[in-house]
Amino acid sequence: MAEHTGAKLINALRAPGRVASWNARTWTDVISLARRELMLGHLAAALEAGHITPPKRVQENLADALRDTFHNARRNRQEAERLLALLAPLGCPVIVLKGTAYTMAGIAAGQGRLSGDIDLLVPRDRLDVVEARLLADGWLMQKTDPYDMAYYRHWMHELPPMQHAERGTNLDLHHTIMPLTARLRPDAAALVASAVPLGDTGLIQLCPADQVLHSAVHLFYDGDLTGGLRNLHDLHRLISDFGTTSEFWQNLAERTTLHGLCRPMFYALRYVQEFFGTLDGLDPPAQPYKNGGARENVFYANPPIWPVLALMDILVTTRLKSVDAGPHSYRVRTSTLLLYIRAHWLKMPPRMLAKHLWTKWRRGKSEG
Amino acid sequence: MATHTASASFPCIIEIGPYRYRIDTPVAALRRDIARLYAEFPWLDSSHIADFSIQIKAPSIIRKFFRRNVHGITDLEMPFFPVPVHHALTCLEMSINWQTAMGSLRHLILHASGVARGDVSIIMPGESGSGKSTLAAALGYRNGWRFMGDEFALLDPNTGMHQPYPRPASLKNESIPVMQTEAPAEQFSQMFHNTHKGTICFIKPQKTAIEAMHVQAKPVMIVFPHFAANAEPKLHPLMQAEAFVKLVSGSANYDRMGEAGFRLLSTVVKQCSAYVLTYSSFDQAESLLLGALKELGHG
Repeated sequence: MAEHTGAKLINALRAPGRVASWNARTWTDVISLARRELMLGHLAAALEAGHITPPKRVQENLADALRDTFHNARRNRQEAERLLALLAPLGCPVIVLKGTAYTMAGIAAGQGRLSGDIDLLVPRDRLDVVEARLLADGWLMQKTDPYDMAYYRHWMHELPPMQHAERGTNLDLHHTIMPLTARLRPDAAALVASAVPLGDTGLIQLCPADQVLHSAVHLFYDGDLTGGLRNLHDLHRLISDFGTTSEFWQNLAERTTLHGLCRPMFYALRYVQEFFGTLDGLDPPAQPYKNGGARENVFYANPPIWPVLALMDILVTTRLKSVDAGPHSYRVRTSTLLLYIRAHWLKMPPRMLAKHLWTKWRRGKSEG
Repeated sequence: MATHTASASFPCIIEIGPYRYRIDTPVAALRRDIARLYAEFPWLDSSHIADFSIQIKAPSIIRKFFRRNVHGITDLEMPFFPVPVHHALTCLEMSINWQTAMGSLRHLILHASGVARGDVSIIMPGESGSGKSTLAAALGYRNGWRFMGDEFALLDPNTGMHQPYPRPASLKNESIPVMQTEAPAEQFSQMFHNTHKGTICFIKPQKTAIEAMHVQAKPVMIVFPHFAANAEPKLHPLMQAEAFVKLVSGSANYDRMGEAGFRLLSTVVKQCSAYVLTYSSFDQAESLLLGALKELGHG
């Protein structure tokens, strides 16, 4: 069977030399897919790093993507600095998460990355004052429906998305990294306590191990894997970057235990290895997942039972490698639906979930 | 000419100005419409790389049979609702606009139509309904003018020049009968009634404008057209700063172009005279524009 475009894109990110064999049609397919998955900038960065010169028309599209990521990063940095100035007088720690942190820190995961919004994390007991400060500065909640508001406030790990009235920038304000209703309950206080400076910006970011854990739960525990290729690539770049020292792996094992996130880390290491061969390039001591003694390893402490794992393999592979079949192909739709159900199952106890879906369905009907 | 019309195979790759679009659709009527409307443009085979991929198809299997409609799938999320299948061509045009505006940073994209005369051009920005499309389309069928585009004026950061993008122009409501007196009937698409913008019809550019779609022109005038029936025709000068601000607010990608966009637009605005053009007939508009060009030394 012909290789899916998603698989081709992944292989090119892994080994940019592969693009030498691509014909025009493959390039057209890959440009389209990579743009849709917000991966065009990453492809551009990978080819640049590999000193590969693609055909001229491809170069133009990649140059566009790099311009886009450059200005996106600058805009997010400016916004983060504004937010720091706004929130600093409150004297509460403000942690920059995900893409904005990667690009501001200048790490590999930030190269070519597009971030649609700024993600910040503050301690939950300071959420009210931070929110009040933001609202006073012109940030507006994007959800105004009372049920949605209550849903976010009581159950989620973040407030409803906010947008600045004048600048149009988007902000997600988190107080932890998983919904409050989920069975897994990372230690939010420990996330804040172990945060580290973000370069010389005056802002702070999660410690490397927590960044990896956050990326893993975000990918595998927070939705139907829409944009999953980009998120898995984030994980790959983070682990490649941080994973060169045995201290990191020691630390990651400790933080995984502390936050109770063995399962998300299990999936993270399984799929970065399968898709990107991330662990291959790392020193043997830094390969807990691959070592023979893996069973004693925390990342293996709580693996899913084999039918679940087999199903996850199928769903994740379908969702990430066949993304080129388009969001509208039935195979992709089915796996998306199953992953969506899974994500909700993980997010809430069954009775709460039933009530939530019932409410959303009734509201959907009355609006339609 | 247009030998592909009979044998047009999909997906097709059509070159429009600096961009190549791969277009696919299972809708037979739309395929015929595309083959006809884009007959004079270069159709490329699959040995060419396309910049953007667009599909027009039913949003679900139900909609293939019951209350048939289609939507556009581009490389970017589309914030548009599906349209009835007999409006598929309007959906394609909207998808191309969206994909180009959101996907390209190679050119500064202004929400403007444009015409050229010799090696100089006029950029005509305006909101939907200002008459910018109709005026550019009409001038494009008059002697000595070249149609440069009806929706987007592209500025090339490398040359500072106006890059042609001569897509078929979209005409709305009252402007359709007006244009029918200006151009031969075979240049028009069928009418699309009851769209969200009323009745829409597309008019092909003259073949010469398509053949010259890689020939850039130097922008020397920025003209904001304002059609007003029975109004006194006049060309009212506008401050360059004001023109600049208006162009920025109507640009699809100025904010994402960064400094390159600012430098480019500053240079272009500084070399242009800016006006508001009030007119109630194409004759008036043409003679006012010719007069202004002559005054600027481009007679």
